[in-house]
Amino acid sequence: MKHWTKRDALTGGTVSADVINEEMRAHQSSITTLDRTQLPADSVDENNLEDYAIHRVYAAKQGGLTGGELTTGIDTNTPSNGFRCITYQTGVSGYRDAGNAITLEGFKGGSLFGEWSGNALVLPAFCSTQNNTRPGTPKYLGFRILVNGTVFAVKRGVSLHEHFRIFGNGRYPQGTLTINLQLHITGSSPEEPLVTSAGDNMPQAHIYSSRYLFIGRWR
Amino acid sequence: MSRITRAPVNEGDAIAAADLNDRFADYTQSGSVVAGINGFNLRDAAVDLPQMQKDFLCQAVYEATLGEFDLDHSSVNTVNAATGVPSAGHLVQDFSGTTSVLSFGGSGKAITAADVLRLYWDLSVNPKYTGTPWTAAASFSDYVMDKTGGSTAQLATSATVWVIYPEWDITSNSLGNFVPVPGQGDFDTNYTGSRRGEALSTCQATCVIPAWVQIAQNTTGGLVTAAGLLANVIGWRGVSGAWHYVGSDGAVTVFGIRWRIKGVLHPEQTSSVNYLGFDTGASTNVSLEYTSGKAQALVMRVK
Repeated sequence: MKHWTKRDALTGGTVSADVINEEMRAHQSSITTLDRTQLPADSVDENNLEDYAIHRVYAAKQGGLTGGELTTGIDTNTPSNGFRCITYQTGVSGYRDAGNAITLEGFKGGSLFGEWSGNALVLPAFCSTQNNTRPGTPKYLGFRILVNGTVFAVKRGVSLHEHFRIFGNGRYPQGTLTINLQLHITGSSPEEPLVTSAGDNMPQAHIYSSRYLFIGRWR
Repeated sequence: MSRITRAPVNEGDAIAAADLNDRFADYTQSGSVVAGINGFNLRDAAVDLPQMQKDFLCQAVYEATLGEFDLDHSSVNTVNAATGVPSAGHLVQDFSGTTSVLSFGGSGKAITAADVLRLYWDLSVNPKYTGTPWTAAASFSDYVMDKTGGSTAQLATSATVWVIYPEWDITSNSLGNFVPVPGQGDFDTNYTGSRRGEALSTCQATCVIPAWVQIAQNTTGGLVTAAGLLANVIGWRGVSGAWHYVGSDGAVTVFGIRWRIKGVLHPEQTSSVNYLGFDTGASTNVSLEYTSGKAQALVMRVK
């Protein structure tokens, strides 16, 4: 055991503030270093740590979306052989939230890893219409993750009906973090048909199977 | 950093026995949770990574090869599109027909309420087709568009896909009871008429792979041109998928995970619900080649 006495108070000795304060400081510094140096390796596990003392994992099986599927801005006037999804009649180019904001409560400050994945649909057919050939308008569905309103990760995204995954890492201060999962729709091309021959709105973009996972590390 | 909260003694302060005793009690173990030698100072604030259990954050990692490696694709596995439903699909396997299984060992791995299972996989695939399967009479993989000069044209939606999804065995290490993971269906749900597939809400572990692509070049005034309909194969590409199981949804012991491929499927809506349904009408000369990939599973503590 560490010996931390700065000075012993003697019977009949003169009492001053330093007699007490210096002894207190010696005690405090001893406590600070006691187990860092003297605990054996691997001695600390989940049984002797408070929850979230080291890290915290935030995960949602459906990515914060109902059924893991985009449900906002959905056009119901789409063909029966197409998803109810974003069309140019309901969606415009630019970023939009994929769902409600996510709050990472109890973030203690430090490193944050995050990933968002799922499946995405894009209609690629009209990327090279008349008067739009050099260059064309590649129809990408882009993705980005915002943390407290600033960009955490961004990706050009998918151009077909395929799987996507976007991930990033950053350092953030202590406090609850607000996460926005956003998608970006490419605008329509010149002279692009926006309806089928039957008058249904052309399905342009959709996401489903959405899931996210964030890991906060503060030690 | 350890912490003791009490103002220091200043010159001129009166010093009483009780006051001194309180101060020393801050630093001792004498019967109070507020004493300095407490959980916070000696545990939370005093330990760091050298004292941490090695597998505290990530308890276990498992990895397996899916399929079989062949760099120049001289050998491949081929999955033909389903011509009828229900379709059993195809288990990802090596060139000898042995199913690729991500094993969690003879005792399995318990996923408790304090854990999360992170599952990732990738596979090298080559969707193939000949002709224009989306124009087959029974197919619904096309949109009918107005065409220049009158009449209409069938435009591939380019939304037709293959699906790959994981199945796990949580019963025993004999690995004889694989079922789709929670939130994932087997695409055999009969949702209308003779159609089978899954609602998107039960595709939570699905990775979709595009079957083909067609663009309508030089579309003018909202009308497609017959000469502008240019279709192409997707070609060899790497696809990847991910899925997470949060242990708070129910503790399980996982013994193994395997992957199943089905196709081809296409978007459809019935009773205001979005589905991926088999398009057996677009199955002629449609196949998916694949070689190899990797699967990884990580079991992490969530707190």
